[in-house]
Amino acid sequence: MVEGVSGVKPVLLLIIVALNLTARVEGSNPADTLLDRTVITAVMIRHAGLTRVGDLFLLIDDWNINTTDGFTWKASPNGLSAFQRQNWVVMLDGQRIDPKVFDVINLNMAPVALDQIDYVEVIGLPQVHAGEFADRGLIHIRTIKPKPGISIMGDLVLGNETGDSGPYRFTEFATPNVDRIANDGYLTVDVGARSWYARASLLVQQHPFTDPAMYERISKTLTIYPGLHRSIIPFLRMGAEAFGGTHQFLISYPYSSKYFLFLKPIGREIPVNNYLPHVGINGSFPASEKVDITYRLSYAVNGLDRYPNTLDFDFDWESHYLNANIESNSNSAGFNTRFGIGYEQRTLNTGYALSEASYDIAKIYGELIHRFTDSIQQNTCGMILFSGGRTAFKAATSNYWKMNDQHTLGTSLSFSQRLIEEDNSLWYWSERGYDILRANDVDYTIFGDITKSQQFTGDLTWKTTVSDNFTIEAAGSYRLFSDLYLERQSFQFNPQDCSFYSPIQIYGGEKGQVIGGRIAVNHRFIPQLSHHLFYGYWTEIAGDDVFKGVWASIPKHKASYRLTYTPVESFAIWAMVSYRSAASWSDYLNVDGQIYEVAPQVTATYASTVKGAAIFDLQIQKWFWHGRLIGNLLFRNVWNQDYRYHPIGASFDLSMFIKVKVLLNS
Amino acid sequence: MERKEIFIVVKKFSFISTFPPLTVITILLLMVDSPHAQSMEAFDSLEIGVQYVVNTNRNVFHDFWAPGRGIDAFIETPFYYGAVQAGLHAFPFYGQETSISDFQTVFVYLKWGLRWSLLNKLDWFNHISIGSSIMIFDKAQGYSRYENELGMGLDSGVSYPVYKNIAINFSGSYNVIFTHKQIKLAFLSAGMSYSLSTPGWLKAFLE
Repeated sequence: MVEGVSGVKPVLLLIIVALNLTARVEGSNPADTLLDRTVITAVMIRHAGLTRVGDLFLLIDDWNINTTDGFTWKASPNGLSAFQRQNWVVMLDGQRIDPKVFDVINLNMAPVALDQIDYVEVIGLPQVHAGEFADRGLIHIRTIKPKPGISIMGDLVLGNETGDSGPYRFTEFATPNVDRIANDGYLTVDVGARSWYARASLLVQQHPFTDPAMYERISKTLTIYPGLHRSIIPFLRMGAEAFGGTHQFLISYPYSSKYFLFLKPIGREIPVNNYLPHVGINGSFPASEKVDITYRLSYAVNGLDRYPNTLDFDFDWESHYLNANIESNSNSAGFNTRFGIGYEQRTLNTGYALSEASYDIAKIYGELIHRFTDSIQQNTCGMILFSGGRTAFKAATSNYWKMNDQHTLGTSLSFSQRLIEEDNSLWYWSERGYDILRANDVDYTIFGDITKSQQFTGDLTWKTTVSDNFTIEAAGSYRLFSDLYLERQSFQFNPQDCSFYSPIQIYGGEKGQVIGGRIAVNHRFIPQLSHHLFYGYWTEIAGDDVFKGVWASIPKHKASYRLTYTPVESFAIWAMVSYRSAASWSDYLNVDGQIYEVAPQVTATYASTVKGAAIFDLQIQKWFWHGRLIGNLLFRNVWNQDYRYHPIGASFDLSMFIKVKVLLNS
Repeated sequence: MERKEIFIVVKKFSFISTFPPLTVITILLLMVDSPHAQSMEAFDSLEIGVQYVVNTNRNVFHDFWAPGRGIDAFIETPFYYGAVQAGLHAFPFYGQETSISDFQTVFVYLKWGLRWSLLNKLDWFNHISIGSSIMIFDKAQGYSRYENELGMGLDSGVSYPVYKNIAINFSGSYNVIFTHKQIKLAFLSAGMSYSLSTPGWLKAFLE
């Protein structure tokens, strides 16, 4: 058993500060190491076999991922949480967006196309970033600013997963057409001038929920099959230079029709229409010679409309989210300081009688970046949150020591408390009268206090630059959690509609510790050929039974190897082999061996252990017409492995995607 | 009864027992060179061809459908390594019983391969192909009349110039269509092709 950290909070804070103030060294430019985040560049995205924004997870090595449908991903961000409690933050060009509902964050609903991305910052170490404290991870997507003139860009993605019946539909070997991947595309018009720009885009996506593992339970919820989901995402982005600074405006209205929201507490997908309008403005301008002011203001809605379903399930949910902050940034010799204040308000519109329909969070934060010498830099940041008379402290500090031209050492320590209000959790609203579960005959019980949790993290990172073309990075990590609230269920199989049901116990006060390590090697043989090797390991080392059970669902071992070959400027080959080890899902122990016969030729057998798998993806890319036309041929799961991420989720057979992109500039 | 045991059954790397083209293509593209690839610049020339095709193998699929006669049309050009070919292969199959629909397959494909010069201007070529097999059924029976599925194949053959830019070609190929119960078909082809220099505008587009 581990001790809670609430009693030792002051001691930990002192240790954090003391440890990091003792470092002294020499060298140059330690901030260049980027040890505190992963950056996915536009070049990496362009070469990789990605078709949707959610596919970015395939390039984030130190985040474990999981999906039931192949469209919506859950993440365990560098050991900062398990697959329960999806509290990583999504930001787009400085504005926080709100694609989360009921512990599901659908990155594919972000108003951005893959081709518009300049780079993505992936933060897996707690720190203040753009007015948020990233204690559970953060993904910040930065888009390319439109060039002067008028540009029209668009693409069309056609996909096909193998395994259809084909002509055998007329024979005793008939199987249902369960393996389809539908069509995506987008169209963008950019207008750029010297001091302003505008971008209008429309994205459309389709995704079928027709895998054998979910075929029956989904089809039984609908009066009309198949379960093809469509989303449409129109958005307008504008930017301008004014008052000596830059300012951006974003308005979007993502809308998903017949989206199958996997609601884990009830063990199945519910069809909904999901709408996520967002409007926001952010920017920065100089207040004096040494001080810049940065501001962010956004308002978002995340609503679930009823889609006709046989369960008569109606979420009756419309969440309104206001996020605002303003901060000052100042530079002086060797110091960079940032101080800010923020405000969040979330309101739930629902027909259920709520004891409180909204809550507010106020926050004060600051960051000090101090370059002691050319070779050592220390970043220290902190945030205090206030909500409903309760307070949460968050602090992190990191050192970067460039020992010589080759070696850089980084340390990162953090302690943070987290209020349940920050989670926008189903259980928070259930406690206030949003009784969607009991209204649908699903019982739940909350044991203990779930209002505030704590975590302590420690990371040690070492990076060596063997040459300009060869780097090695290794890291070791420790996480201590206390007072988490975690769900425990024991699902039973219902053969009538192949669904799963279980009462729910939510345990507050859960404690546990995890450790992990990773190594990443980047090497470029020749300018045309580069490759990347990653291996990561995570395991729990102590904790309560529920905590251990939840962490067992994360594969202990994860590895990937990526190769990019561009023999000529207009042709590229990208290949990736990824591996993850088996994972055990304790909530599904009682469904082991349950079989659902989709058709005489196709049987689904459910199991609580998800087997390990090695997957090979391959993409061939050719540019035509001086780069105006790009054709991609992508194959996923070339070895046709029968693999899945979740005990009751879809499997992903060999698939082929054809992507055609057109770019026209004035 | 063939069963797809998902969740419990973990297939061994099925590429060993089924089909290796995509695994092989990565290695080949990186490692293999050929005399023709070195002697010609990418997209310098075009070869346009038509072939008559017959299906030669018999398996469970043929218990339900009898093959007709098909046609294959292609256009080939030198690539950075080897050559690439785009084309389509149309082939009819006739149901052995009235309850089984006749259907046409149109395999729209891309091929990549290498070509070696043998004796007396005789060339030997080998390709690997990837494409979409579009099946058009005469009967719908509650389904769509159309269906697409991934297909892959290998072919090998010879080419011999008979008059100026005209050559005759003979080849054999083996294709797999990745339906749930895979369709495996072997073909023999014979036909002619015509070579020409790539027009400047087209070469600029392709480059």
